[in-house]
Amino acid sequence: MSQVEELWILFREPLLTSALLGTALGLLGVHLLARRLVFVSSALTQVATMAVALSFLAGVVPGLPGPRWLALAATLIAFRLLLVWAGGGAREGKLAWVQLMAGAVAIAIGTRLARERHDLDALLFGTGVLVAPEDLVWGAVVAVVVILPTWWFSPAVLAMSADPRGATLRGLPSGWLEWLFVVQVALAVAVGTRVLGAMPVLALGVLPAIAAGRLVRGPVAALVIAAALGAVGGVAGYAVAYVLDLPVGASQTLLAGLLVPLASAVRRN
Amino acid sequence: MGVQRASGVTRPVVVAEGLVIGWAGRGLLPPVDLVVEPGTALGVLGRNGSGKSTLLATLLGLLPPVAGRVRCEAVRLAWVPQKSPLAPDLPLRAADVVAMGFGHRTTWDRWRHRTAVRSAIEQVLGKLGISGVMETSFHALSEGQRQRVLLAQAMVVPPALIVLDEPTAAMDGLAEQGVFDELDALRSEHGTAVVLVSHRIASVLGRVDRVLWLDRDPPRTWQGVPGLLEAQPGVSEVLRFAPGSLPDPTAAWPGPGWSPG
Repeated sequence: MSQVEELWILFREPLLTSALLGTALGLLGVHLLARRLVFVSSALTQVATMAVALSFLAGVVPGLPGPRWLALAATLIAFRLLLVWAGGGAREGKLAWVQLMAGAVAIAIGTRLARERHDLDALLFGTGVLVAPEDLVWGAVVAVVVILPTWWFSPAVLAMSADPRGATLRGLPSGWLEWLFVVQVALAVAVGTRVLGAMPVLALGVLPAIAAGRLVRGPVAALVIAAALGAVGGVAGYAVAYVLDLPVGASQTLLAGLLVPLASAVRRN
Repeated sequence: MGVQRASGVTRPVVVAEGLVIGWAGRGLLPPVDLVVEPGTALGVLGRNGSGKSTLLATLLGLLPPVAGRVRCEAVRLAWVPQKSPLAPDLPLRAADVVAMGFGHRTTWDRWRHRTAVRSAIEQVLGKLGISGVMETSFHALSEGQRQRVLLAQAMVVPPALIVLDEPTAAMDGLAEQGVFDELDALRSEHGTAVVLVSHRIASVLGRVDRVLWLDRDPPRTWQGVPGLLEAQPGVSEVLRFAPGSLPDPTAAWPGPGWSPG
């Protein structure tokens, strides 16, 4: 068996899951940027981490849903509440409060969980190597839930991100579209945080979209490019981590970050 | 005045009864009764902070009334706000912005109408004198060009009601004239009702059928035909200093009794 085949068998699930999640997060990133929800998604990654940490703490309680379901429920509720709560005044202050509190609770719980301490570090910063076959299934679910509706309803979804009031006045089903977006983001953040870690989720959800915005002028092209860059960042992060012996989450974040100046340089030339 | 619909029945596009506008349950002005009929134009005028934009938002259902009620019968609404509401971080060409005016829901809708959409966008941008900006990034356009692209978005599919909040504030006189001509054409050809807020009072008075004057010091409203506006208390000094009604600075000082023609 060649080395490549061995590596493929070893990293098949992580690579495919990262490609699927990177694509979905890249696509959502264009809308998160347009709607100025980058810091909301940042706070959500911490909420998802806190929910998983809480589920570790409550692990002894029989009948409680698993960490993934708890993270999904907490992220869904938190996103809906944040959209309403942060819609008023002092938005940045409120978001900072949620992010810091959720992160601090997760770390505080981590000190009481000697056995799961490593898992918690992986959640916060991303190791991306402990990807189980069911994570690949969840990654595929996220990709389907994000990519298909975003593509099929792209004129309405883009209109909502560009100008929600105008879209509502033109008779688009804004309430339904808003719920779709909330579910997509919550699912991608909850599953992504569990599999990749909070930092790479935020990086893949924001940086490819910024790079795409510098490369193209149209919104559909931006969506396609951001999705492709998200997938590349997710997968190439593994290669860089393997070659340079770095943590995968840091490699994915650094690669996604490098896309931005690279895109700026391409645009200038 | 009114335009008959296909059913043969002429119905007002907007009816407001005892409408009190305001924020958080606090009324800004006394109650207003308002009827906007198809094909007519209503100018909403007043000093800064008199509640003009709040009135527009309430008529469109974007703000709840403090008291009274508003009934908007328009099937298709268009709104041109004072400043671009479009997300600056979303890459958009002028053509993308205008295409949003079609209100397409799916990629299939957009794809099967793509030729007609393209042609309608070219036509409306041409009418507003900015056909050359179609592929230009919306965010790279000048303020005046952006206003015209937003107008094109509102006009590309003729609406039953178009609500405009300072739509020509960043335009030169010639561009403004072109915009008002297009609005007149929309009214006469499609029966579109126009509600228009503008600080360029002199320009507006010659283009609307009725005027709604709002004043918060003291709180009062007045409705009537444009020719009677100046006779209202407190109006003439506002008109004297309103943009668009100032005298030509190269002309001789017209004297203290000067008022817009």
